[in-house]
Amino acid sequence: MNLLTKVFSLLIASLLIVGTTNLTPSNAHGPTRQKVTKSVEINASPAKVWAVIGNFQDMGWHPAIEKTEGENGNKEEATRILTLGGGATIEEELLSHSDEDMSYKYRITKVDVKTLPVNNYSSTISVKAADGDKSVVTWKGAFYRGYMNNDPPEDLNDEAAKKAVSGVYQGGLDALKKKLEAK
Amino acid sequence: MIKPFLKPGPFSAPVYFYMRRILALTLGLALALSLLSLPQPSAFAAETKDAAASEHKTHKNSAAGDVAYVTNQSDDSVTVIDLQTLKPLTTLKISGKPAGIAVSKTTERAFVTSPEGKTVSVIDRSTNKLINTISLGSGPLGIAVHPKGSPLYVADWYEHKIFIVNPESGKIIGEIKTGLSPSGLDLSPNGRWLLSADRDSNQISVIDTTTNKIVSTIKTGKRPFGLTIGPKGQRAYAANVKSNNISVIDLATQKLIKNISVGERPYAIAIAKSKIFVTDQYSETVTVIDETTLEKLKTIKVGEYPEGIDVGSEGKFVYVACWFSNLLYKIDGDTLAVIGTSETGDGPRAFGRFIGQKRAK
Repeated sequence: MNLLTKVFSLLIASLLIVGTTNLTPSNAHGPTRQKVTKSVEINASPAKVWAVIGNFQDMGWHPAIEKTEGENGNKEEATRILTLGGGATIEEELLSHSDEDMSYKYRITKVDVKTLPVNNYSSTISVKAADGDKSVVTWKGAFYRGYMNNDPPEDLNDEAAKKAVSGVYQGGLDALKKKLEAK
Repeated sequence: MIKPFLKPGPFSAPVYFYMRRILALTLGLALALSLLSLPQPSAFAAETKDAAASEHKTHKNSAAGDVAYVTNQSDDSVTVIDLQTLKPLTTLKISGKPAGIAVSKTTERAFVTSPEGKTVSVIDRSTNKLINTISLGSGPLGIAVHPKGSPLYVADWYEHKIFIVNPESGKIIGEIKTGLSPSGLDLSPNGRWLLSADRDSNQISVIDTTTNKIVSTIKTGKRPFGLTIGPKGQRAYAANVKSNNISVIDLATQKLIKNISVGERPYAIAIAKSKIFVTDQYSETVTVIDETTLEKLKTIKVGEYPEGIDVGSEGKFVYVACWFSNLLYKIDGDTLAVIGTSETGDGPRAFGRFIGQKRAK
């Protein structure tokens, strides 16, 4: 049984169990929000690092992202659609952006749990100076698991959500370090 | 208030049962109304005097010092923090992803909900030890304790009801059906009214604790979560997570006064020094609003994902748990300055009334 069928049948099952009295799964959330933080030290100045990652409209530095399309640049409420290798997309909205602090905060407005098994995801990426004209990039995420109700299946539980987000961050930060230190 | 409880399809037997009960209730209510005029407004007015008296008493005792019980959801613990020194006194292990908290102002108890463990943990504040674990429901989150110390009210996110629990025996002594996903709970200072923020019904339910019946429901903004009744018992405030505003409710008329916009993803509210303090999770701020004019006074920068917020017994200092930063912020209610921070465990939520006067020797 493929994942989509599984997710779909679970949805049907949960609807049958709770009847029509209950949850609107897109708004209700599971009880426990998760968090993930990943950092990497890069042998390049903060300004140099920010020049690569600071534009909300260009996620090209992340190896999983094939295309970034969006509107309103780095303004509050700017949007972008990230297209991944296999054609799946993630829609995101900018919450705040500061060139001065070298930090931006965004949230996912639309993603299939097959692509990333999370709900209510928000994230901050920032660059800080470290000793010796180096930088530390920190990527933080806060999110709920893919399955919103009690007793989630294994591929949509808290661990699955944390593992997926950790993978995205680590993959991106490793590639960023490689790219910037190669020059 | 009745419609959402009607369940179609496989629940036809209960529907029939409910219909009969609803009919009986309606007849009963009509009879009661013909005998009495609505009691709410005068009861709320009387409350003001009580509250003023109890506020006076609290001020006299403030020398004892306050202690915070901060639920750390990510590492299954509660940090007990001395609020004068801003130093943790001890950490209790509490399993099941603890989130909700209710510290009794009159007894030596504090109560913690664990939504994943489906439990309420009882802490003896004189020793800061866990003394009982009560199993209940499918997703206990919001919690409040009667000002007299009993009973305890526990909102169940998945079962759409409030459990009434005897805090000493741990026995469930009643249930109140609410709207969908009841979240924040709070009681009026005299204990007469219990309010529930029914998150997924976009409403507040007002419950008369003498009958355990809902007397009215009030529409709020979208997805009300944190709920706080002001210290005088005249108003209630709900933080609407989805519409980025708070709802101000007049309790005497049980009507919405106004929705006031705040930062992104407001979570909870505290009242101090005639000001409304709202935690804005995504904005990383506390929005401060004048209680009289309902005008915005300031936004205070705090840590990441500010969530639980409460006021000290002296009514002056406001404390904010920042979920991502693992810090408790202390704010001066007069100057609106951040005075200091204390470390917490991982993922502090402190959802509820988490401050009490020091009991431990």
